[in-house]
Amino acid sequence: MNNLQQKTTDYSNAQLSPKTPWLQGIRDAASERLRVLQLPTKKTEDWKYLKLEKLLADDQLDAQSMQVRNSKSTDDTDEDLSQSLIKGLDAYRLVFVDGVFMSELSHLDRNPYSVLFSEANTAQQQLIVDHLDSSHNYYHDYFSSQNSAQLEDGLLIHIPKDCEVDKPLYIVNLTQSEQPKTNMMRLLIIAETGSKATIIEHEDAPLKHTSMVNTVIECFVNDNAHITHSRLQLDESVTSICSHRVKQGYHSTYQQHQISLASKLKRNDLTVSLQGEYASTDIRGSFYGRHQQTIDNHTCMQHIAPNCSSNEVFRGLVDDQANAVFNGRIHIYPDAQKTLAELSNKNLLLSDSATINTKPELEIYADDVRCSHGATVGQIDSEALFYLQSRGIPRVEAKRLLSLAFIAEIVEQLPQNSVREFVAQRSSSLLSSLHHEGER
Amino acid sequence: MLNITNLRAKIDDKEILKGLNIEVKPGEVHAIMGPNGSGKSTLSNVLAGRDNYEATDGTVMFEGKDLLTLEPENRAREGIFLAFQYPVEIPGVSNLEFLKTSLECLHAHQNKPLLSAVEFMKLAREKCRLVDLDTDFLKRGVNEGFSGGEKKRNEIMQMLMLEPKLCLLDETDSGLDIDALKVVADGINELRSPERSFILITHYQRLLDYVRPDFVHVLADGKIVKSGGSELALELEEKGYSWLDSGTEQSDNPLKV
Repeated sequence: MNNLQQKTTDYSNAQLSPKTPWLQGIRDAASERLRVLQLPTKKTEDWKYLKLEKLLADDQLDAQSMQVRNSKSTDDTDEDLSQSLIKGLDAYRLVFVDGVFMSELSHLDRNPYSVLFSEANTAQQQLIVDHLDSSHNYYHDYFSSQNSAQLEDGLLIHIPKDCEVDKPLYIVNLTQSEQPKTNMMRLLIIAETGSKATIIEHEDAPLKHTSMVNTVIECFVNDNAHITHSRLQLDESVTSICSHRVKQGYHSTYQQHQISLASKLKRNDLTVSLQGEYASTDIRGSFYGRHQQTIDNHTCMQHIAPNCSSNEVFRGLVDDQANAVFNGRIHIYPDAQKTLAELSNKNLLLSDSATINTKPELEIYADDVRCSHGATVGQIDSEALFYLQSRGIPRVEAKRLLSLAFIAEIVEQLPQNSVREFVAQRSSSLLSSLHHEGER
Repeated sequence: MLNITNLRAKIDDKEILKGLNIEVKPGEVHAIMGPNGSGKSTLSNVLAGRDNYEATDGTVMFEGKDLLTLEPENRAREGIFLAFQYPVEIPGVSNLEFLKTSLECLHAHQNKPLLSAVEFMKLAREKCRLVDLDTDFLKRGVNEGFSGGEKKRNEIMQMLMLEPKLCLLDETDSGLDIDALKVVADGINELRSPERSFILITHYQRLLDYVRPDFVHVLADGKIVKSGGSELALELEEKGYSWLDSGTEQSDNPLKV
């Protein structure tokens, strides 16, 4: 048993003094599941391209759940933190630092949409208990069970019926502790019938301290509700495992834009269940790995109801000795006639020793559907490279421009100007560290 | 300015240029004509430094520097510009970003002051107008979705922006209608100066009606087989290339023109 498992078991046996006694049932159920679940190995199909045990072996990390912090931080910290945030974004801001909610950096005034589990009223508690871990599909999942077993606090975003939220909810997760540890993040999004909201999640590690984050996001998009969700995973020093589940009702839309930087290990599991007719899903993602980093995106579009559509586009840039995995599954259930499902994953290998394993999977049990999928792996176009060089642009800079161009399609579709500019700037400066002078 | 001596070059072990000599002085316009497969495009690609075009013998000196040892970007910085026969489409890199980066790289090398954003835009718009391209094109991806004619005009637009010392135009006139041909010719004439030289690679006399060359060379089987003044182009137009086959006017000495 490795450290991680040891820690988990200890924790679940320990007497918590929870701020959320009403969540004990969920914790107990998850602890029970953990007794039989094992850390995935290379023999586990969904994890076979990752050397998980090796990647987690030297993480002697203390697990810690989300907490509320109301004490005043020093002004210096605030100053540092605000440097990392997206400039010029008018939003309801919710800031977590090392899994601790920073109320003084957050906008709670006139924001009736979010509440911490520990501060939920009776009605909200009932809502949380009704929704949390409500899908049995995930009971076999080791990491989300670990998250639930240690669940002490979390963030609920609740958009009431027919409500259109006037500005984005901007959730910031910063890692800056010098003490490596595991943070459990839990986010529950419930968009009631006919509601509409934009959510921006921003994970960052300005000081490059190592840490591990185990995140579980559950998102319920009810009938006629519309959610736009941007996920910026810009924390290169953080080992992150994220399980993200979306359930969609009749005529609902869920749109996600994901920008991910790899880290020692970054794993995203996204499952969207289209349960109501005429629901539509649009997922746009890009990822970038360098050095010896690892990034693994597993997505699954579950078409359960008829007449739904899903469209998924992922672009990957893999450099140095980095290892990337993309596994996109489209699962069409017998009743899901007239489904329209598309999936595309294109990758650019920027070095000879970079690796990408990409696998689109179709599982179709209905006979009247339109489905397409495609995956490509390529290198920088030498014609384009020469064209840029012939105009005086150095090879390294030309490669940077072409790499940015490859993910531009994804970045340009980020919904807010300020977010788009922030991401463009970050990717541009990140890619300027490309160093391939010696390869000619 | 440019001195090519006994240049031999191959692509994938196939020798294309077989001892080519040419000298271009400042301010001169040279036209290189010749049948398909004679090595015209190979010459322009060797000069610009494209991968896989390997010079096996001979020298190419540009303003006293050994051009063949320079990376493509450094050739451009020294003042060489190649207008591509087939300009590449680069979706995701805007023309604006591309031109700005390019100009900054060249100006930095030439110790010229960098343009402000406003000055740059003014310049770019002005050059667009000269080649009859809508300024909206600046925001689009490099050559993305451009028609053949627009791509060629874009090459000329870049040439006007970058103000090179030596312009190589690789069949820039092919595939153009008469209006676009005039635009291209006007662009070239706009840049003609006592310091700037041109090598026009072309199949046809047409372009030379608008841009009068100082010298015309006929390239056949990797060598210059005949050189003359602009009247040679007319003769070629009339007679084709076949009459040259029997001719053995190529000398092994560097051709001084």
